[in-house]
Amino acid sequence: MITLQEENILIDRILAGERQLYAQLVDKYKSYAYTIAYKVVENKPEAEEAAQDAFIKAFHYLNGFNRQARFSTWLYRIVFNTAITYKRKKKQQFQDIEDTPIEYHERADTPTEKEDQQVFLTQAMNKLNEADRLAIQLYYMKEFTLEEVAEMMGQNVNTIKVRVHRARQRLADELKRILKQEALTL
Amino acid sequence: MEKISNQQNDKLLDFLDGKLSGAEVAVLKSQLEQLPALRERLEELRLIHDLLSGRSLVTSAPSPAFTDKVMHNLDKVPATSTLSPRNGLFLLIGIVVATAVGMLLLATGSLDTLSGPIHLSGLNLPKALQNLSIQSIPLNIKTVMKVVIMINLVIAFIVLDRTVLKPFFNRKSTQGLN
Repeated sequence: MITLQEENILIDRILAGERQLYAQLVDKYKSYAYTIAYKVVENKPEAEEAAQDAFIKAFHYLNGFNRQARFSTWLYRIVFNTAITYKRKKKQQFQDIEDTPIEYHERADTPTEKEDQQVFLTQAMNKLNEADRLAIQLYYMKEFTLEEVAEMMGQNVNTIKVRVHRARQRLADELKRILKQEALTL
Repeated sequence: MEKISNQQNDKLLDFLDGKLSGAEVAVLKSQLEQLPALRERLEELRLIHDLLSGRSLVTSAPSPAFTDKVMHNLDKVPATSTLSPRNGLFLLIGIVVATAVGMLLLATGSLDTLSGPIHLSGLNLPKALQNLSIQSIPLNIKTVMKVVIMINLVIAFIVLDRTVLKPFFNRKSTQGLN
């Protein structure tokens, strides 16, 4: 695991010309970068492509990286923006019927109560607007603080806090409605 | 059943996020004991909180060749234009049409009658401006149109370069490398 100090030294060496060291940064952050892209574009091949593009962009703009911020926050902002661009392009091109919302679990033959709840949660999440859904997903990735989610999405911390709070309230209301409906159909 | 206010909802969510101080937790606990609706809401929000927390444990993984692909394409120039080639082409056509109309107006002499000085005395100007020694401003619409056409042509070249030529040659060079 690379510490922040080691990371800064690594960046200095990359900027000095040891570009092969960039692979260490890619290895360290690829999972979260891919996950962020996936949560935005909701399609595995495109998420992979967007995350790779974001790493290439970050390499080209590394000179402009402000050391006062964390590299991860800076990088994830690039990933987020790249993924948003991919999503917009995709919307313009076509609607792929195979693009289903994110699947989190492989369903067992007999779904457990927890799995059922996750399915209902996905249904409730689909009722949220895109910005609220993204804010809540990034917040619950645990890797990020509210400040980092705000930085990534280019919004004010208070705006994100309100988004995350209101989105959870709406989810709770929606889940309650779904569970009530399910109980009636039993 | 008593309706839960936004403020109470916020307190419950802060409680679940572990962001309340000891004193605030004590106040909330006493409220929870007194208000069954608040207790019920806490359970609804707790379920959402737990489900969302549980989801985050399942992280997505990129392909094993991810790092190699990035390192292989490191020299690929990132696209700086936000315009797609299709939109760029539309913009380019618009600029060309506007330029052609401007040139047509110039060639047919339609703008000749519009040129001439603007007489300030005929305008209803504020008192401070009326005392100025300038009586008229010369205006040559033909010159203005020529400047507009020049600016249009420069913009057209930039759009052509950013949205059509650069992506085209980048694609060619990438295909050449592969």
